[in-house]
Amino acid sequence: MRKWVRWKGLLAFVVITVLLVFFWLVLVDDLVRRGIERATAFLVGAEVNVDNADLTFSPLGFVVSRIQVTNPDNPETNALDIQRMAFTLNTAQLFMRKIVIEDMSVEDIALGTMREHPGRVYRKTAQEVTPVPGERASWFEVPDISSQSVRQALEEANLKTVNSARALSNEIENKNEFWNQRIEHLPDKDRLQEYQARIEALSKARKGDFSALLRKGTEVKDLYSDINADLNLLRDSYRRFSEDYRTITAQVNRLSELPVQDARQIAQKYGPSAEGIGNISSMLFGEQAGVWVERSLRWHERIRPMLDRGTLTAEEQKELRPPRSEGIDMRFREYAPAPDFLIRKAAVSVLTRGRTLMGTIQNLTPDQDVLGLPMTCLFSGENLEGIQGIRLEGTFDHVDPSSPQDMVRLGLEGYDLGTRNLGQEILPVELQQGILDTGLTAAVSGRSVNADLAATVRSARFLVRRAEQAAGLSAAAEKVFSGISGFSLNVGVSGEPENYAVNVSSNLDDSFRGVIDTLAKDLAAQFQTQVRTALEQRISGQISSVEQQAGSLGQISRELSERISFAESLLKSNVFSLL
Amino acid sequence: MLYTLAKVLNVLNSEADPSQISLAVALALIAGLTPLMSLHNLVVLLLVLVLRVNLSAFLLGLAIFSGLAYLFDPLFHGAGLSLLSAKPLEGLWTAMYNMPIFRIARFNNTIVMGSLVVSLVLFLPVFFLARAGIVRYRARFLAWMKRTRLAQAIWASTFYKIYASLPGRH
Repeated sequence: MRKWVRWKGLLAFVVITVLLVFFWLVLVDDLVRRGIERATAFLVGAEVNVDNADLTFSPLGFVVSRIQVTNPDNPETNALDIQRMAFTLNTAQLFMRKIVIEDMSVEDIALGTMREHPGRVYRKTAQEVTPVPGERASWFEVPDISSQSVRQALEEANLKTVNSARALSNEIENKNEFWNQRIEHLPDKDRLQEYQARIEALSKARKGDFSALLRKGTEVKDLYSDINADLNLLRDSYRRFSEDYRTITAQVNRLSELPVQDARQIAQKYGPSAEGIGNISSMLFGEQAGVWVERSLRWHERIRPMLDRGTLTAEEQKELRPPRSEGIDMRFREYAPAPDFLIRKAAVSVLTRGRTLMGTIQNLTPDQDVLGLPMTCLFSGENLEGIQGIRLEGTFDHVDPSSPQDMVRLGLEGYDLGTRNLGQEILPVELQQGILDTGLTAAVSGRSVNADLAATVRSARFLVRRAEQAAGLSAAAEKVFSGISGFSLNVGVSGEPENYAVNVSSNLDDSFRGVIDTLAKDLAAQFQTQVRTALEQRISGQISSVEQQAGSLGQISRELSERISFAESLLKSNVFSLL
Repeated sequence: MLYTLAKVLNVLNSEADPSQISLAVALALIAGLTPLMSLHNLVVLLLVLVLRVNLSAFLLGLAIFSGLAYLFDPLFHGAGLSLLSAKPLEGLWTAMYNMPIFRIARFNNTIVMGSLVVSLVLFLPVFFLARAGIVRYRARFLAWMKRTRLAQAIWASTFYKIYASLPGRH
């Protein structure tokens, strides 16, 4: 026995174990400090600094001082700056390798404080996307005539007019040829002058006996019939020619009107309309609403890992290649299930606007399905600088991870809006003062996002600046805004996180309806004129060529008219004078 | 390198009982192949200190097996995963999962489980093989070596001076 047992070794073991525990106790503060820094940095995607962490034994817990969380979008500032955080741990659960914090106090949170050194950013957040207001802005301007769609429409219209002009030119040429041939077969001036000669011969004939008189009468009658027949022929041809001429003239007129019609159609299709412009509320508040929605969704994405643990299936666990020497911690059914991480209750105080906003957070865990309770939070404050009262209530229900339901209710009373720019370049409106009372309900349920904001603004005063692009709109808006001291505003959001619609409406829309209509008409008229000028410039040569061709038909008309007049004069004055 | 080799020879050529050396190697196998900061290694440390095993052999074995463990991690992970996923053992693992001592021991980690089981399986074979090897080395190789001219030359070399200067040699 003595050969194999070294009793001094037992003492050495005790000494080594005590030394290990001692060093662990010395190092644990630093280990916890680094653990908090690493875990929070992983969630936020940016550097986190903790000044100090102290272990307390009765009850077991930690006091952590000054936690600075870098804002990934602006690394020179902190997204959160917590002065002090203290929490107690459930010891029994700690032996089961679970961190259950029964009570936590987070004191003096400040937002957006400056950092001494810019923090490192490990993961950039996605850029905010606000496509709708940007598109709407273009509705308040005369569309760009050189834009691809408008240029294509101009080409199509141009082609249509050119084809019409070419067809008409061919038709005029055919008619011209036809009538030139036809006119050669009609009684011409020589033939009519023959009648003139016959008349003169008859008038010179001596008035003799009865038979001579009778013969003259017969010749006059024949002459009359001949002239009349030719005259009828000329008149009939002239009538038919006139029909053709009228048709051609009408077609030429239509051709010259084509650019006007096309310009009207293009302007209707691509130009601004009152419906397209939308409402004044969207223009004034739509962009800001879009930014708020994007920002809220990004924050929701950011806190999601705190609410949902991505669990692996057995197959995924088998396929997963863990980092060397780390392996995978397999999970088995627990007789008394408890979350791996849980903050049962946290009292939070946020320093903002010169006052403290008090709040509580309950059941913060990524294992809500194990706990069976949703995370809730409630913050409220009164008489803050610029806010009479605020109340924020939230429920983040991930108890069933397959259908998470998150809901936030925000009530804001007497919020001093101060001075802020609204609208866009086309209508620069400044809200110089206003007090906001609002209620917001926002819900993210699975892949669906819904939000409803109802707000009233009182004691409002606006300043409208003149915009170069739409001086008319500015002048009209100035008049309307000068009579408004309060208004209501409703914002509705619905859709999916990547594809949602923001619907903004307010009673300002009624006041501005006439202004928008007038603006749309003015812009549409300007655009139509531009399109018409562009079209006319392109096809002016074609049209004048066709008009010249049509003018050549006028000679035929004149020729026929002259022959008819001549024949009529022969018939009326000369023939009847013989009688 | 020379120092390490000298140390190995020093242990082998010492008067220590071959069983004490081979037990140290077998215990080093467990501590070296499994993650060092595991609860069961506290038991190994206790055994190493309380049992009269050769500490030099243990420390040398620990260094060598820790290096080998890094190479065999994928093997340990596979073995641990297979054991922990085995349906017939599910009841046992579930019962252990609900006991704090096993949770602290991290038995449910694939590498802890795989490396511990592999090292326990190899414990006795390594012990007996090492013991037999040491006995044979001393009886045949060491006796023969002492008679060779090479050994005579080595005794006159710097290497031998280092070897001879090591504590516990005489």
